Amino acid sequence: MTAPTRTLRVAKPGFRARLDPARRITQAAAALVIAIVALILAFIAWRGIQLFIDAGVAVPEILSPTWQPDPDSGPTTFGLLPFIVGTLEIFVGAALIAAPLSVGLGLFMAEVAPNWARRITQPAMEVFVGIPSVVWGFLGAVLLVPVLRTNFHFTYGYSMLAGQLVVALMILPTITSLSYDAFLTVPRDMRAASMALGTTRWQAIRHVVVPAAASGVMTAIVMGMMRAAGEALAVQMVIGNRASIAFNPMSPIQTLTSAITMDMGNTTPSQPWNMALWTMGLVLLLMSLSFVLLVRRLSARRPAE
Amino acid sequence: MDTQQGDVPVTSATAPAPRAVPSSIPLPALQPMLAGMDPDASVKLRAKDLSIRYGTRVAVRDVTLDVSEHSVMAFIGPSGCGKSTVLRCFDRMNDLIPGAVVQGTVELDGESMYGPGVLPVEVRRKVGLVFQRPNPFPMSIYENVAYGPRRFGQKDRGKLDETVERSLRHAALWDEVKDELRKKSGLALSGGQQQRLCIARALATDPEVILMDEPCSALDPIATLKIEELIAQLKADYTIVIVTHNMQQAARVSDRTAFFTLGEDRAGYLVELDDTLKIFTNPTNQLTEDYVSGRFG
Repeated sequence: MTAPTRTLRVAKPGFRARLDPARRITQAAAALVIAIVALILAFIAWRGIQLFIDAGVAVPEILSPTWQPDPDSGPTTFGLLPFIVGTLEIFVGAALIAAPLSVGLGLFMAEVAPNWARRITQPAMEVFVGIPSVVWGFLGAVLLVPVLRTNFHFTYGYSMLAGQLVVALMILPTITSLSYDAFLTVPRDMRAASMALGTTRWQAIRHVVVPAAASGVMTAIVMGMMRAAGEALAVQMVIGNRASIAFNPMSPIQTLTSAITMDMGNTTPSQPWNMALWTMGLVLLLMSLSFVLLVRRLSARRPAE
Repeated sequence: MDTQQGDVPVTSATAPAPRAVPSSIPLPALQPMLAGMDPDASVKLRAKDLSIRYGTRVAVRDVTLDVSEHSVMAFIGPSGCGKSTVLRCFDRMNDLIPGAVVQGTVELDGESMYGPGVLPVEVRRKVGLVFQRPNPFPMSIYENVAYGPRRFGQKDRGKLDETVERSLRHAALWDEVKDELRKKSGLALSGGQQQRLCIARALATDPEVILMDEPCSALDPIATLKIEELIAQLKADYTIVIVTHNMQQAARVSDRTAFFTLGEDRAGYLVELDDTLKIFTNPTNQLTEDYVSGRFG
């Protein structure tokens, strides 16, 4: 006797199912975003290398201090290097000032603050993010710069330190909220496990929560630094814009972004000076991209350990 | 006193509250039976008139019970009856929940756990807690076990090595992990191994009591069996209280069983506490009978 064989029937998808509008719309949205990013990258790269192709400038030449993209202006003494150094100084300095403050604040919000304090700090951070950068620059120029000049005897007040402080304030909420999230992702049970062993709350935070959230916190800091590197307006308003390599926080400097925003309007397209500004944009983009890769490396390591 | 004589006879192990705890047997007669005291064994843990509130909501009320030294007590009962809440009182873990209020007395070796001047940190050092879901720290196996001793100031490498090995052996995990103690993360172990790692981590701080809050509910049957065998071994050195949803587990591992349920006021209370065999074969209380025979809960 053989049992009757039963065939499983697979339903054929109907027209609606085959069209699957939700799938198509989301695919289109994703494709659009990818296309826009790719086009921006291609466009900046293309405009950025015109200086080397069209104007015939050799790549290492732009870093030499005597390079002059504008033949009408006579000899110079800086090249591209001061702008790169200035950009690095602003965002590394701003991160050094902002990171301890904002990671501490994130830790406070995630671990220590009672509910009522969290109800104040969270909206405060959102307001913080919403302040436009021109307002930060204005406040820096009107309040911070005179104080640096008169009370701390800076030559001009417009200085590297002024830029670092203003940018530090601007990236504070970014690092705070991202590190707050990183601390929140550490499971509650892990803190409880430490405390159940008889450790203090501080020991649980110090030895379990902080190490577990470390890579997330690093990501938060790098994201803040990226914001700092890209900031132009507020920086330009307080750093004095002098194109020279300086390591004294009291001296005026210039960054890639501030040079681009200040000079772009004064140049003629397809002139070497204009091309040089595009090249500076490309350099800035490459710096940001290497940071993005760094962030991805850091966050990819997260689940393993 | 507002007792409900018409209901099923209920021997409450609690002092009858004004409402909702029906009691038809006078309290003094109940005492020896419900506290379940074995005169030969010394009492390790004692709760007396223990009530726990979260804000205004009473989670558990009027629990009185004793746990003898070197014994295993199981807490069983339906979800939400407060058995985990009571368990966590023995480790002062309810202190971490904002709004939780503990009333009544809880004693470890006859000394109040909640008295003035008692530091929760010191109570927790004497009492280990194993959580429902395995929760090893995101660090190596070695560091997981050495975590407690390190926090308490042990810096001597030799002593730490010794503690780690002893604790892992005691938790029946040593042979499985001894080759990659420092290389492998605690999170890379299987669920059952993780739970034994958590037990080893608790043992490393040299506790006297081990509390387990449904330690096997996230584990497969084989891992569960291993934990159950482990509990039987640990009994020689520690006093163990285990919360479980699995009645077979309670019957297998425990010497005595406490049955909790929810009152009509949604607060949990202790219904009956007796030798495990008696609870599962011939319980005094109808509610217990219904629960262990599967008619309820």
